[in-house]
Amino acid sequence: MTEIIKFDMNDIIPGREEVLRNQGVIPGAVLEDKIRDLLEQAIREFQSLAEPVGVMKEVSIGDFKDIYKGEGRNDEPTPVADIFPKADCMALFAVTLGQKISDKIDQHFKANNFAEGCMLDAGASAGADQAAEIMQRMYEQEIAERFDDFDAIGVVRYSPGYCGWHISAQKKLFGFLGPEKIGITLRETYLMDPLKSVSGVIIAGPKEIHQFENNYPCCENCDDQTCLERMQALKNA
Amino acid sequence: MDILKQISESLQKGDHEKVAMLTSQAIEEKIPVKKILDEGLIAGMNVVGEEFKHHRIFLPSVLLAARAMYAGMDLIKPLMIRDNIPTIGKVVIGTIKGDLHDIGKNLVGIMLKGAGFEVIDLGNDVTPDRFVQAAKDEKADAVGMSALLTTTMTGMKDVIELMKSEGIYGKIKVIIGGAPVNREFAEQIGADSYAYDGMKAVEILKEYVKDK
Ligand code: B1M
Repeated sequence: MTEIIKFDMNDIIPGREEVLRNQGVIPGAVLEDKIRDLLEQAIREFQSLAEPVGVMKEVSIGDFKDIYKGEGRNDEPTPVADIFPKADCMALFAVTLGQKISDKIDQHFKANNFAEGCMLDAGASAGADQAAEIMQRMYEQEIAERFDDFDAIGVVRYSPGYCGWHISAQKKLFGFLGPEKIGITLRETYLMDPLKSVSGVIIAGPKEIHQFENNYPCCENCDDQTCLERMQALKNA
Repeated sequence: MDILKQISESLQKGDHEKVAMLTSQAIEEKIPVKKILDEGLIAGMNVVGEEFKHHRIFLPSVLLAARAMYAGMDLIKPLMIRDNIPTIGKVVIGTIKGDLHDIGKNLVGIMLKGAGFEVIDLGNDVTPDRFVQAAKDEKADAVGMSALLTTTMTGMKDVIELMKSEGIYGKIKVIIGGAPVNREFAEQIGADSYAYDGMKAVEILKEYVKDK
């Protein structure tokens, strides 16, 4: 079944540290008052302009095999290809903050209010990620009762465009999930419109299946540490 | 304090109202426009750039300073046109066709303007035709392209191919940037250079126009 999810704004307001970090501000750095004011203004604008909405649909391992394959452009092997066959259940998802927030960012730049524009952009990026995180937690809650020992289950999301899963897989993901229902469309270049949108699959299975060595071909030129942090967090949970 | 120094210092503080006020005053005092630009506005922006490079200030402060620079530039630009004062170079920039992402490109444009370049910003989702036409119409020194995804960055090659067939490749420099792009890709498609960020783009383009 396809579920359309409206978020509680309070759940997706971006963390202030993250908004600053997205702009290269070192955590704990002493900030001038005017930078703090910009940050607060961006948070207020986020609250009034973001229209967060998501869509989620469970998918079988068999169906996902084809979605994952996409246009046949994935690396071989990839972490996701090794993980999903061992899953207990999974769901496709897409979330967006809507167009208004991107329009406001644009307006700020056009009015030469660059710092305001950049602060809101960084906030919207963090907010979109946060919405994806909430989606994952919702799925987690939804499936918890299906398991006798849910503590042993790890629920983690993966997105096309990351870790060797080619972004062109978006086409089949869209075909199955239908994010058009919540206003997200896919361009020929596989870019989602509105910009502040995230798509992917949430995979639930024994915690160990999500642990991998970062020696896949896609890891060679990647300096993103998020996967390592996520694996560590899962181990500690 | 010398008014040009005051302009530079107010700019560094990101005080756009004061920069506008002082720039008007400098114009009234008949200080040559080029001097206001070089010793007031650009001088201030250079300090900001150095501070940023050495991580003593962060992006939001640079952007506040840039707004102040634009406030001054808005006042002297008509006079520069009237007096035929050239900028240090002209760059056409845009985000490639199929791509909506333009924050990175905007930041590069801001840095270039801050360094004294004239920037023609075509926005996002820009077709090869528009890049090439603008480069020709504006008699640009360089074309700068930005992309967000591996699937959109391939469009950069189309722009270069069109530049070749229009006979402007090699005469107008090509610089590219964006998250999925790197030096090898730039070489592969025949771009003159790749810039990791706006500061690097300024550095590279300054070298180009110096050699011209
Ligand atoms: C002309 O000369 C020049 C010179 C220098 C130039 C230049 C031109 N243009 C840029 N530069 C340079 O100077 C600028 C200033 O320093 C810089 O510009 P940037 O535009 O790079 O920098 C901006 C100022 C800030 N940077 C950014 O805004 C991008 C940062 C990263 C982390 C990122 C973010 C924040 C986001 N994303 Co995502 N995202 C990533 C990015 C990874 C990364 N490390 O860059 C990237 C771009 N994303 C990626 C992906 C896959 C995706 N993202 C998505 C979503 C998102 C968020 C919404 C969460 C968020 C906002 C996106 C946005 N940009 O608005 C999805 C796509 C969104 C869409 N609309 O289609 C999605 C497809 C994931 C999904 N399935 O949902 C990857 C693309 C890889 C690929 N295969 O193409 C990615 C590289 C991450 C990765 N895998 O490492 C330089 O690149």
